Amino acid sequence: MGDPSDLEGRELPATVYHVEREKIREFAAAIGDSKAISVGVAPPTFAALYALAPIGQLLALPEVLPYTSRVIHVDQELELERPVRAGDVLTTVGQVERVRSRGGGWFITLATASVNDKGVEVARARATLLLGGA
Amino acid sequence: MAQLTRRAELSDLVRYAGASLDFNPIHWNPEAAKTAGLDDCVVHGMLIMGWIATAVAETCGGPAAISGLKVRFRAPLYVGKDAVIEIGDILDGKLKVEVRGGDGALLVSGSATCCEPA
Repeated sequence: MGDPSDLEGRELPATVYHVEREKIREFAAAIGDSKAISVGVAPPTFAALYALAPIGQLLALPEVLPYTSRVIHVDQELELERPVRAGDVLTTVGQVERVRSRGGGWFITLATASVNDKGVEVARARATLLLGGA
Repeated sequence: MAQLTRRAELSDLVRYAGASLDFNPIHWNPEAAKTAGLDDCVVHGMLIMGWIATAVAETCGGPAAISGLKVRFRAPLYVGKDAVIEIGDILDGKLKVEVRGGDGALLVSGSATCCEPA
């Protein structure tokens, strides 16, 4: 079996997320955002649910799974092209952008792009995780 | 500049785990956190980013007015500990964000971009 460095450039299967009003409400309440619901727009970091779905896919890959006893979020970038609202159907594709080993652990950068059901770009995200090591 | 203090208790972390579907046990199981080399459960980075975004939205004019957020998680924020969030003034549509622990240690640094007012 390979290690995470084999994954650089790997594109992950598309995931589809259906945005629901009650999920926006639940998420907004969990981050203490009292205004999101009245505005009708998902909070920016609602992206955790759709734009970062590929993190779950990444952590389940056989090359990565042995290092998942310790997962630290190091960097996060979000670019939001348009507001996310209930009823949106968002398709996200992630790609492993960069993999570096350090001290028995791995820095993995994952880039994702999310589009709506009309194919219009909604968000881009880039997450860097540190796996394993200590 | 705007400044506010936030803190997450274990129940807040369990709630955020369910809302975000991030069930990494270092956020809700102290034993798992210690096994991972941490002193206690740590606050989800994305929850801290959510606090930042909520504060930035106040400055930018609503959640839809934020077009970009970029953060580096430099040190863990532990459950039950204060986080002081500092949102800088807007300059050319950008503003600086920082989160410090109660002792002044820098935990998160980054920047946000606001859309032009509609």
